[in-house]
Amino acid sequence: MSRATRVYLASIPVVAVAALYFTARTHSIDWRVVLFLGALTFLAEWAAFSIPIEGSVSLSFAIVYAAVLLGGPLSGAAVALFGAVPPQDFKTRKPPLVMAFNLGQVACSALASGAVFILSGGVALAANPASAVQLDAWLLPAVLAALAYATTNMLLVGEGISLVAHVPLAEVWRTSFRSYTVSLIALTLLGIVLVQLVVVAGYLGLLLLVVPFSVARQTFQVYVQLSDAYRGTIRSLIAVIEAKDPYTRGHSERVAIYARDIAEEIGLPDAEIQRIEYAALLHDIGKVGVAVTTLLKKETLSAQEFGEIRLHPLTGSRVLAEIDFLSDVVPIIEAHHERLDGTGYPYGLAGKAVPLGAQVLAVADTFDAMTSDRSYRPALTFDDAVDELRRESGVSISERCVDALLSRIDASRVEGLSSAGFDWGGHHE
Amino acid sequence: MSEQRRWILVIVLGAASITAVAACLFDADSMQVANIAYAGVGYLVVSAVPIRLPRGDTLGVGIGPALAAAVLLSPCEAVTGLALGVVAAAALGVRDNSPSGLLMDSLRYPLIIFVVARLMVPELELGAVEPLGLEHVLGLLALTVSVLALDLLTYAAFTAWIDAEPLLQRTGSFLRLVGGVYAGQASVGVALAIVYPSMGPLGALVLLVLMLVMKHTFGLYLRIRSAYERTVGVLARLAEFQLSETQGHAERVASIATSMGRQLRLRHRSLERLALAALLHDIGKVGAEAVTEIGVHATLGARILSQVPFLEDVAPVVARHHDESFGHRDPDGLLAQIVSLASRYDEVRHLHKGSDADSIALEAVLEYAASYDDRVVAALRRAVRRPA
Repeated sequence: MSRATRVYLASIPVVAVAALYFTARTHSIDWRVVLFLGALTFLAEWAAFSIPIEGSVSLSFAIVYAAVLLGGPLSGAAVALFGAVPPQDFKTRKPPLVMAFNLGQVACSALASGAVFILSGGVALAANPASAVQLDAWLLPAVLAALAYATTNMLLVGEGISLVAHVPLAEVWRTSFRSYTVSLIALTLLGIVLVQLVVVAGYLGLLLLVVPFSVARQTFQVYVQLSDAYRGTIRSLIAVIEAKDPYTRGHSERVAIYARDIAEEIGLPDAEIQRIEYAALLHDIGKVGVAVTTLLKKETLSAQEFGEIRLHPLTGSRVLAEIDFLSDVVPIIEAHHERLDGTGYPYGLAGKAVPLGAQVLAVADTFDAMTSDRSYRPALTFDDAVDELRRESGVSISERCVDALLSRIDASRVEGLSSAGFDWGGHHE
Repeated sequence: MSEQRRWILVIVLGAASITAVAACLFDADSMQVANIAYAGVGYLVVSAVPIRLPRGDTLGVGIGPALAAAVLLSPCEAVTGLALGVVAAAALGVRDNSPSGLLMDSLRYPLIIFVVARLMVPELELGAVEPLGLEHVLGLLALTVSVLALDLLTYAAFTAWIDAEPLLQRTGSFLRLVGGVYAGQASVGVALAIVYPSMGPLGALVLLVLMLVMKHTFGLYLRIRSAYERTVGVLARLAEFQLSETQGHAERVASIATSMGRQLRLRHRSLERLALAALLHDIGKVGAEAVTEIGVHATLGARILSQVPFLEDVAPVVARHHDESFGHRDPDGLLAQIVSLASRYDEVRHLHKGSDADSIALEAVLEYAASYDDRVVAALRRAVRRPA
């Protein structure tokens, strides 16, 4: 951190203390507002409620804003301080200077917001319930107060980010302006709803929003856990195949990496990349239907054994058919041994009839099969494998995909992937 | 059978709703068309995107707007508006697998509101823009809790009847699954009623969006949950792929083991682990061409599972399901015993045909069951007599 940054960060808390001192001489503080909404802010920050948009306003803004409207600038600032330094900041050992800056900047923003609210004709609403239920009377001051909060906050934090990251202030604003504005509008409305609840139903009314937010957070957490668990079961499907055919160990993961490289390089949309990646991970699942002796055979396969092998894309799609979550992945798996010139299996599709995802997967699969040991032959060298790919490029496999793959890989990366063991417990720390 | 019961309920509920609406139409003077429309549209907006439950049922979860309507409007306006909203939502949901499920889910609201609104709401005057006293707030909470309870209980009771399942069991699993999301929607519904008089449509909009976001999150969760369960099922079937004589073994063992676990009053978490272990107990057979040494597949299966995050705690149970002597006291040992006995029973049961196959298989298995805990043996007896 440069000297200028440190001076800047340290100056904000000083300004905040001075501003608090002068505000305290002219304004009173509403302790009930501070107590109830302060506790709520602390909870919100502690539970790390976050809006899944980069660069958005934190949820506690709605609560601080409600406190400003209900109790005036001083109460608002006090509530803001409750949420400025959540316990996890101590766990992650945030520098004390940054914590002090955060305390200072939220206090300044809340004070500015409260000052604008009072100056433009608003009154502390908790103390004036009669005017509080007349929304028309204070809506304009309330909107100005929200704008004041946002402006102060964006100035102070934006300047901090600009100093730390060496990016011009305008650039910081430009990149986060849209998400900031959208979340600001939503949370301003939520803040006004909070005010109404407190004014009409008392502090007990806050429960009505605490319940749904806790439920939503709980659901979302379980959702994240289950998504990980889901990826775990996908991995276990692969583990089953690898238990059967040790030569394929790590094959599925490497093919997934190559397939993702190709898909990214030819500019497919994210959802399609995700589908191809799942298909790549599971493309050999149909080998459960092939006898171990056939899989491990060193000699040339008999016609019947080869017939068994040729069925594995179909078996794979049959096995996975009932998982609706994977319904758009299955066709890619089914066609991953089709070739553009019609020489592939199981259907012998040709040209455009082969789905693009399957074309991507075919190149990735072929390349990894060539660069790793198999029961019937040792691995080809990197250069030989590239030559072989080039020979088939535009004939049986897609030229565009081959070019995409070759632009992303080199001998040392392939070597690294082949020798690296894959960490099954990747989601554990 | 179950589809029949479903339609019986739809018809009964529909008739009752029509009666309620008709009763309201008699003193139509007190009703305002605009209010009816608000209730209907609010209900439609929130419930038109139904949540799909794992069993294929759909839930509209219209409790939020229903509560708001009950509080803000006259009982008759609320009932009529909701009934119209229900019909519109069902019409939109026709493409759905089970329109009867959607109808049955949503037809309860007009009735619940009819009952509750007549009993409780007249004391509240929320339409007037002024702060509420504490007794009003408590009244609102009582209203919320009663509607919530009626909603969850009637739905659990109906579906338990349709699927001919014990009421208590279904209520428990239903509460665990959707209790939270119902409570959340109900709270936002009351919040809507509270802020509507002063904030108007703007406040309603904010809270309706909040309801929809919550439902969407819950829908995502259910989707990934069903994907997870199905994938585990696929995993279980992989091992049976080449052994056609054991088709369905894993799923039958899972069902027997789960009802044994219920007999033994295992906790929810242990039951989940038991079901997974039972489903996956033979996963190690995937690499085996012929039947190899007994117990080898257990070790191999455990090795596969221990590599997988979230299935690793099932591995020790799978590893021990072929042990000769079980640890009697530790939980893994108990689960391994259950899986082992259920699996033996299913293997023997599968060899017999005829009406008394259950008891023949039971006696045959129990003759060799000396190494099992008495409680586990007793659990199998009860589970087999009263299948899940």
